Parts: sequence; C-alpha cells; structure tokens
Amino acid sequence: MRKGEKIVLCGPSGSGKSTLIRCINRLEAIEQGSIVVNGHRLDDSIKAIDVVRQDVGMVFQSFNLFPHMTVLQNCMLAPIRARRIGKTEAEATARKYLERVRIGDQAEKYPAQLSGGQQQRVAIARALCMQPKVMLFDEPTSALDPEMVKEVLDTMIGLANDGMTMICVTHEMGFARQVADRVIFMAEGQIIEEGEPEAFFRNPQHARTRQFLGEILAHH
Amino acid sequence: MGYTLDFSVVWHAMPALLWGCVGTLGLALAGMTLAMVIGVAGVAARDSKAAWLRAIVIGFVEVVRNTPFLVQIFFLFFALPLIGLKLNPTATAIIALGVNGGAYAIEIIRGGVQSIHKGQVEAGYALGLHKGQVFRFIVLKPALRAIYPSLTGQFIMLTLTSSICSAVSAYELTSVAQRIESDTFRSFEVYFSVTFLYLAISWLLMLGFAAISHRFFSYPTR
Repeated sequence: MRKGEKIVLCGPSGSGKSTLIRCINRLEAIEQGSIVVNGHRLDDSIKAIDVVRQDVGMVFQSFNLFPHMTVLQNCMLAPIRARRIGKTEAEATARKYLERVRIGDQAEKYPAQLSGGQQQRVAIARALCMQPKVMLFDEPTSALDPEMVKEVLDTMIGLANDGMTMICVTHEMGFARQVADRVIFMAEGQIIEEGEPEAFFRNPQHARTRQFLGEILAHH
Repeated sequence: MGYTLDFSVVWHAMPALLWGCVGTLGLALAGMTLAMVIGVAGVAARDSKAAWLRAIVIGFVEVVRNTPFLVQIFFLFFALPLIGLKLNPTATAIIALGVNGGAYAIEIIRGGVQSIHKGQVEAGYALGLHKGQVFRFIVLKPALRAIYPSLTGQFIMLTLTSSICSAVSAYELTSVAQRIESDTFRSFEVYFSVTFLYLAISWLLMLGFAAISHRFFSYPTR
C-alpha cells in the first residue's frame, strides 16, 4: 500500500475484512504471513506492536468512546499517556481535530450526550490526535441511523482529500466510488478481486463479486 | 421480673459511646481503604499473564472468603506474634478488616471489570496504550460504577464486622459498650442504644457513599 492511498475493503459478512484490518494493529493475532507497517515488521514483540499502534489510527463500528470522559478528555488521553506530550499541547491538538470534524463546540460534553454521528466523528478526531500515518475504518457507518451516515462519510471524505492514507471496511459504495484508489472484494477469507473503483463497479470479473454487488446495490 | 429500664446510665456514658463510634468509623474507613487497594490490585493481578500471581490471588480469595473473620483476626493477633510479628489491637483490626474486605472486593470489582465492553479495551490498545494504562484509565472507573452498590454494601458489612474486633480489644463501639455493660449491668439499655448508634453509623456512611457517587460516577450513560 502506498502513502496516501485509499483502499476500500468490501465483501459479505464473515469474509475476513474486519479481521484483516484488525491484524494491522494487532488487535487480532496473525496466524500466517507478515505485516509491515511504515517499515516496522509486526511480530509478537510488545515493542513492535507499540510502534505500529502509535502509527495506526482506528475507528470502530461501535465508536468505543470512553463514557466516563468528556469528548476533550477522550481526545487527550492517548497523546498524554502514550505519546507523553504535555497537557497544553494535547488540548490544543484535540481542539484542532475536533474543529476539523466540526464538533469543537461539544468538547465538554460526555459521549452519551451526543448523537451516533457526532460520537463517530469524535472517535475519528480521537484517532487523529495521535497523528497516525494510516487510518483504519472498521464499518464506521454500520451502527448509525441513516440520517447520520452522511456526516460521518463527509468527514472521511474530507480526511481523504487531505491526503490521509486510509483503509476502510465499508458497504458504502458511493464513498468507495468517490474516494477509493482501489477497491478490494473479499469472501471466505480470500481476496477475490481488486481494482480501481470505476472498473470494479462497472465490470467486475468474478461471479462472486457480481453477485455481491448485485445484492448490495439493489438497496441503493 | 423487676427490671426497670434506666436509660440515665446510657446518657452518662454517651461521650464514651460516641468516642466508640469514632473508633468504629476510623477502623471502618481505614479497613475500606486497605480493602480497596487490595481489591483493585488483586483484580489487576488476577488477570495477569503470570500464572503464579493469578494462583496467589485465587488462593487468597478462597481462603479468606471461606473462613470465619473471628479466626482470621485471632490468627493475626495471637498466632503471628509467635513467629515474631506483633501488632497492636488497632493495627490488627485494620489489617483483618482490610484483608477480609479486600477478598470480597476482588470478586465484586472483577465482576465490574468483566461487564466492560471489549471494544473499550480494544479502543485503548488501538490508541497505543498499554495493558496497565487501559485498566487504570479506561476500565477501572466504569467498572467501579457498575458494581458501586454491591461494593458499598460490602463496605457497610465490613463496618458492622468491625464489632468483632472487640475480641482483640480494639477500640471501637462494641468494646466500649461491653465495658459500660460490665460496669453497670444495664445490658438492655446499653445494647439497645448501641444498635441505634450502629444504624446511625451505617446511614452516615451511606450518605458519604452517595456523595462520592455523585462526585465521581454521575457522568451520563445512554
């Protein structure tokens, strides 16, 4: 994967998309093969895992904001504790990214006081505060009410346009068309097909891909 | 059957009884603090990678929860001096209460930790935090909030159990009451009054627990 590249991973549930990106920051153990992140080979050593996790930001389907901390505190925890930067700097960084996801005015609120879309944008800001080299999105809009999907996708598009390297597991094919450099289709733990979005959507090569796209686009 | 109630005895002894209450509260608060430290450290050790550490915690909880408090405090007070570890009654009482309460606290807090959604821990790891940091900054507070009623209930129990510390003549309400009773033979009046004093202590603690909950655990949840 190149710097600045945007990859969309799609496929039926149970096809291993989430597992694949969860291996990248070692939330899932690697059974076979190897992953190299930013020149660091990810093995079982704590040190390697640490280095990689600091460079890789992740956004989850279920937001996973910390309920006992305000939005601002959510964004400041890891920079202070893992990156060991000062409180003032951490707060400035946090406010900057909260502004960037257009939620700066909610900084003092607790997660439960925000809508799902707002929470997910905070989660994106929280990951960005660690200044990652690559961002992983694990079905970031799947748990959202339909009317909130757009605000999160818009945030992600903005991030993509700013040159962030991104891997997104998502079924939002409009998003894939708009930002992806490459779309990868997975099924049963295997990569079935990959290609540029235009070719991928217009002329899928494999029957399995066509079937999947038929099912998913039928609802759009 | 010519027993006439005479509460003037209690009235005269009231300063001593109130000091006894202070003693009980002191033992209880010190015991709770120790129990809390043992509880949190025990939960962290209980899920450690080191098998021997987990075994120690499991063994500790088993032994303490399945033996009588009176035997535990006698062991500390009468048996340990024989191997050169001599403690005064107050220290014995605090350690006994803390160790006993700590074993129960481990089980309760562990329940709270297990109730925390796995995604919270993963989010912490994904942000580059270590296991200890995830426990301390992410898991602990919501876990304590989840089991706060059981934990404080256990701490009220610990407070009432402190009356058993009179057996090693620790300074607390029950030992004060025993002394007054043996001086005056006014058993009914003394223990009737002491009952209400314990009730008052429990209520006072509950007020304190509610204030702590309001201060630390009042963040909104969905």
